[in-house]
Amino acid sequence: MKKFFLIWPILIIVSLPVGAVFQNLNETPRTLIVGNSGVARPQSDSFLVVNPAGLGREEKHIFLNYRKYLFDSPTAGDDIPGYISADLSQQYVSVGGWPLTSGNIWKMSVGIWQMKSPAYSEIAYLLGTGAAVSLPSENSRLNLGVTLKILQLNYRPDDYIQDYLNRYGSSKSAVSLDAGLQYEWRRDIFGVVVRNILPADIGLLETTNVLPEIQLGYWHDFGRFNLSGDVIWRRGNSATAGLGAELPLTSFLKIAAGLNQQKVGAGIILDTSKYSLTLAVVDLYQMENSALIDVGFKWRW
Amino acid sequence: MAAWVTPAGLVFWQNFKMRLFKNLLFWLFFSGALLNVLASAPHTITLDGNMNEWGDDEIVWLDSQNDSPWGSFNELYKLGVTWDSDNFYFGLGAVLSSGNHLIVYIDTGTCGVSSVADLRSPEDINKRWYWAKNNYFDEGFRPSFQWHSYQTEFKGSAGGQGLYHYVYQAAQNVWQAQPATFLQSPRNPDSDGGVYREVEVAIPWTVLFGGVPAEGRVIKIIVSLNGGTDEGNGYYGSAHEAMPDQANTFPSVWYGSYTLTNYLTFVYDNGNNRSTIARNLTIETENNRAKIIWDKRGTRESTTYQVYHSTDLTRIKNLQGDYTETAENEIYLENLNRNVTYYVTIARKGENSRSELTHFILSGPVLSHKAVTNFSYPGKKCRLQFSSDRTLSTAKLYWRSGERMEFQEINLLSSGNTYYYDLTMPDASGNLDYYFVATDSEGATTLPRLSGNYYSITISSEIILNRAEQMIIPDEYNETNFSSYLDGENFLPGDRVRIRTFGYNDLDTVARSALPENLSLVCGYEISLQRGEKIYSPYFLGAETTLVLRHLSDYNISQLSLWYFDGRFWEKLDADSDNGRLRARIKALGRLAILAGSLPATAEAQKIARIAHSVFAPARGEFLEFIFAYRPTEIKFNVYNINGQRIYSGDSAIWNGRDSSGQIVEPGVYLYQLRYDGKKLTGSCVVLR
Repeated sequence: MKKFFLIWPILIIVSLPVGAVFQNLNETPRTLIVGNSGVARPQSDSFLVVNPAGLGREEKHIFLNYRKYLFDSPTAGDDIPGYISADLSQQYVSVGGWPLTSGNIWKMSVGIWQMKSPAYSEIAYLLGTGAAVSLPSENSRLNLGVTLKILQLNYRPDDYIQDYLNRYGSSKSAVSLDAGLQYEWRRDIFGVVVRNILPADIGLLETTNVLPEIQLGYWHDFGRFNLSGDVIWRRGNSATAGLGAELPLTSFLKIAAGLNQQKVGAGIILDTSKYSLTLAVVDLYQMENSALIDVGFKWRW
Repeated sequence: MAAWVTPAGLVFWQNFKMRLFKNLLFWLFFSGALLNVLASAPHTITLDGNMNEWGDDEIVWLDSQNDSPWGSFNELYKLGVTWDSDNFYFGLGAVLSSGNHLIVYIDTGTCGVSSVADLRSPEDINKRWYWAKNNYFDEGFRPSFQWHSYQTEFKGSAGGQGLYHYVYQAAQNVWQAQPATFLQSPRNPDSDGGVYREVEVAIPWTVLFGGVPAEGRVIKIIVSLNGGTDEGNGYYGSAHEAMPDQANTFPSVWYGSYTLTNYLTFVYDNGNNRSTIARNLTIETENNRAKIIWDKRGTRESTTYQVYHSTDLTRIKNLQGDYTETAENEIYLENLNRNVTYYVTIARKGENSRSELTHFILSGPVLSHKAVTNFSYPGKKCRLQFSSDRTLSTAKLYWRSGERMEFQEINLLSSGNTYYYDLTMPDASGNLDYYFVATDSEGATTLPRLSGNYYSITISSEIILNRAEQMIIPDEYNETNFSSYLDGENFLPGDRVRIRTFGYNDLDTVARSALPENLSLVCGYEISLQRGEKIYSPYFLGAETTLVLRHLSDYNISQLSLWYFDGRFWEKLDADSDNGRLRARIKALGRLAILAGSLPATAEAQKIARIAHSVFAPARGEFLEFIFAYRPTEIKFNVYNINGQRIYSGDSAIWNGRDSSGQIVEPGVYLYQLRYDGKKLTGSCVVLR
């Protein structure tokens, strides 16, 4: 408990992070429920995007993820010329857990992630590999992994304004890399991920668009329930922190909840050895009547 | 001096002046062509066995020195062809080994032979001629003369060498060689084979054609290097090297039969040009241009060509008029007119000998268009139009503006044979480029005619008027036959009035939000006074003066009103409509506008007219803007990042892409919520770098 409360001071940091592209890439339903505190979690639904260190322990799987932003319907009139609707969604598919060596300690996964609105899309092609390294101590283990990302963003012009036709319609690409580490010791797991290590100007995106960030996370199993807490530093922004708790009700059903400075989330997790289904409902509490739902389905074999 | 006062002297002086003037003009305009004439002015061929005096244009073939199967001691080097009023001249440079024969076959277009294998001797009609060769000719070449030499002896008319005419003997049904008159450079003193020598031959026109040929008569030539003659064994040599190059491979045996395929063609022209070089000029017409293709002279011609083209046949024949230079043997002539005959000839640069003449006509619609070069009312419609001499199947306008590189396509409307479109000009200063494409069954015409060109309109809102009794405010095309004006009373001499036209988007927030409900801005005029170096706006006139403005819109004049903005409020002026114009007495120069509409402030009208720039680049000064059909009483506007975190909050319906601290936000998707008069709108926008 003591360790966990160490994180509390970080939560009160006043922060004003401004957006950047691909900033939702590291989110899955499970991390959303618990306030984006996911990098140390042992059962993240896709290590490829959250923390590649977990890839070494991943079983063969297919993971499907869909997110939809929910806004109150516009009352100002649907027939406004030039109106780009707030239709925002996010899709993600990963396949993997293939062992690269005998002994199942080094594995590989691939994935495609996309966020899109009618005028705009961000697409990431992901290739990750990770290894679980046994340590001399019986109760501890070290996991390491990296994810290579090809990032592409596309936008089309506002086609109401005549002058803008063809003016900005464009597509830009970049290459980047995430590297992660998890250290497990009895009922505690410590995780760290460094994202966007490669300077994004290897591609055509500007480095200021794809910001490097570091996320530290801690997870503790209290037996009856577990807690997680993470801190994220993104370049040019102050730190943000998130907290989450997960409570198993039966052997296959859990409920979870969490928050960070922007979101309050809650969800249920159905988990058997073969399938898992996660539903997250998240309130964007600074934005009135706005929320998002995120559904993930994972099939292991 | 006394001579000048006599009438004859005066006439002479006037003629002299006129000639001087004409010469000067000629020099000024056609100095290029004139220099060409001077560079290769007609000269006399001296029959001295040295071709140095021959002009470049007269050397009609430079042969490869590595194309003889018999090696470098049996090579033809060059052929010169030219003429004057008396003679046809040719000159040859060659090297021959012992025993071989150099023969020039000449086709004058009269009946000739298809083979020289069975030519009969001048001395004995029953005997095969010593100089008959086992050579045959392809269709198109039928020689009736030959000139020949044993090795490079060049004996003239001695020893059986020289010029011979093939004469058909009907009684025996054979062709017999008979000596013909000619002149030739002296015998080569070194008669041994294997040494390079030149020879020059003059053949009187009377021999070839019975007199000076008519213009356009064609002379064809093949120069051949042949094996000799072994009469004892009945072996007669055949060609094993030729000018021009031949299509067929030479026979392996020195006397094997051979068919000559290629020949050089010359067209007689009694003008300035001694040797017209047949170039096989080909014309391919397309759209507004014509592609001219011609043959290079010989295989090795490397030069600059001057392609002369004109609708005036006489000028072309004298190598005058427009020409275009190229190093290629093809060229596009652009910017051509329709339905007129163009004549074309080409010349090597620095020579005065031209190719044959050819001509062509571009068919298709003839368009006339007055290019729009200036437009003074950003955001207003500009009529782009042309008239055609016929009804078209399609008429299209292509235009682009701003930073956009690609042209947009618009089908034109038509009224009779006038095709037009009222294009809305960008609402800011800049350029707009356009061109037209018109097609009918005969082809397509573009305007401007030069392929890839376009007209460019400078859109500039500033109009400057000099003080006058009535300062005419020009129309959108900067033409002054427009019925808008500002009366010059109450201005000082030297005063200038500057008018900047503006649209709704040019208005600052104060002027915009002060616009009366339900009225829309048709056209704005920022009128300022320039007195000396100083510019006054507003400027308060000592007394009232008259302003007359014609409106630039589709509104009925009854819906329009004239307003003055005093910095806080729009004030309606007492204006009467007069023949499609608004006339008012004004007290001050400053911001004036024509507004349209009346003022029904119903709930129905309380809506957003449109949202501008939902994809925008703040660093370029662009912004997201909600344009209302009326003036809302209360606006609350929030912007959030993708995680729902509020980054901007304001009370106007504009977001300039900056967060609350004034920094331009990172590119990406942003969400907004706009509240106004109890209504709410949520949406997303994209910020670009």
